[in-house]
Amino acid sequence: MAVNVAPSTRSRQWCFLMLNWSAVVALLAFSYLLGWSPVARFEREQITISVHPDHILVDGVYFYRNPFPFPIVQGLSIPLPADDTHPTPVDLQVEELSPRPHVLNLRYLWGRPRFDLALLQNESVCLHVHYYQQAPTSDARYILTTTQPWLRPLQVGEYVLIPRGIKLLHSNYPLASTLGGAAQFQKQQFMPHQDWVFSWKAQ
Amino acid sequence: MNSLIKYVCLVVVLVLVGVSPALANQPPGPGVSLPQILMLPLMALLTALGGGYSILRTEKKSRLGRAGEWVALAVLFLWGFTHEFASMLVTCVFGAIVIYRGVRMVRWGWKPAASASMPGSDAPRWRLTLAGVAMCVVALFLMGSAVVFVGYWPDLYQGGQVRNLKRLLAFEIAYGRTEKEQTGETRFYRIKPGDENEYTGELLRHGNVRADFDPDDKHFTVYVLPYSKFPPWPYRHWTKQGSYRADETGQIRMIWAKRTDELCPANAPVVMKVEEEDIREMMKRVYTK
Repeated sequence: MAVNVAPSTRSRQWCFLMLNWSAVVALLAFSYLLGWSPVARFEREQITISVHPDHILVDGVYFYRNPFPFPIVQGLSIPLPADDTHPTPVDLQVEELSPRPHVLNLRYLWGRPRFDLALLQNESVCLHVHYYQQAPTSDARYILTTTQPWLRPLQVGEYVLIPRGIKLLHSNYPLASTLGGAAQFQKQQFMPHQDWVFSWKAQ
Repeated sequence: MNSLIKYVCLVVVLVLVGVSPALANQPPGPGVSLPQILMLPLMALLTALGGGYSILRTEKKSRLGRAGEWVALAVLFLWGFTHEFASMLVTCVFGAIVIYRGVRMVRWGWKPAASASMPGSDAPRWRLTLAGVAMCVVALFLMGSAVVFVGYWPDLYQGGQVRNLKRLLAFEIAYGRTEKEQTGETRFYRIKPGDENEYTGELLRHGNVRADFDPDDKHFTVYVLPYSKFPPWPYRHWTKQGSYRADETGQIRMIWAKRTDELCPANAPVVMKVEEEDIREMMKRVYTK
């Protein structure tokens, strides 16, 4: 079945193969960039966590911007800090606060809750994410390090703990007290290298 | 040639497997676009592994035609990222291209005489056939995943059901305490099919809630099963839904289920509790009316 091929034809075939494989590699790299690199910008977040003796309520407000002069759809997922001592968060809700207030649908795919966010050209969108998590060991974690894959630091990050019948014991980010009894920290040009971990005891 | 194939395989593995996808509230990866992304590179890979390029390169095609094909593919590829429905359509178009290539390779391997371009091949026939079959299977699998997951957004309603379940538990516990005050025995309000009170009506509206009461109404268990249908096998393994269980202790337990009839066991982790505050509020709300 094999045939003899002349050297000139062979070199042309080699060029053709190289071209073909280069295209395949380029397509893979392009796919990789499209799939895993952010298209939108993640610019700000305001996280408020109500800390109860045996659970926390997390409310995050996130600001995204489409820097391009054409509409985009950005796939997003929510980091849920569950492990052996911290059960899976429940009552997860995601809603767009502005510019078009509505509740966003979620689905679990490959272990994570995911949703799609549509942004018009040069548009900024504000999202609210809420969840409830049991905290049987009186400590909790809010995942901050997922900012890193956005490749840019957050312009502003504001993080507030509101004690509800508890006394805060520890936070790996230093907290300042506010008038209402809350504790908070704020960062500018923030590229977190560690998650926010805090603990408390019931009063 | 073999080293080139090995090199490209290595690149594929490094790009698609070796790089850990970013964690959440950042773009999580291609999601439904994954089949669209994988389809053509896998076709190229299987064609190379099967030895199909040695036949394909003997086919005469104008440069203009070839360039037109690449431009059309690039435009389709980009369009697929604008919406998940577009991605599904692009995946199906790419899938059809892959299946066409796969069938041709099977024919070259099975009946070499059927192809006029066969003399260019130096690959064993079994490799052509095997790669062609693999190509068709991969294409059907990826097309299936795109079709199955387009518009699959199951979790919105069940989140509301869990909130309603917590309210129902607060109501039941408040009811039980009132019964104890009045009769000396804790009995709970028996939920009946078609019950339309404020706390059960919303929860029981769909058929995924089951309430089991002891004959004397002293104990109960409420199950909230996955609300939405799961995709068919094998895609059901890619997704999950919560299956919940609650009782008179005020604790709500949950497991991740992969079947709509999967009941949450009694020893599952507690994911939510009814607080004393909720019960007090319920007592005020219901029993001071």
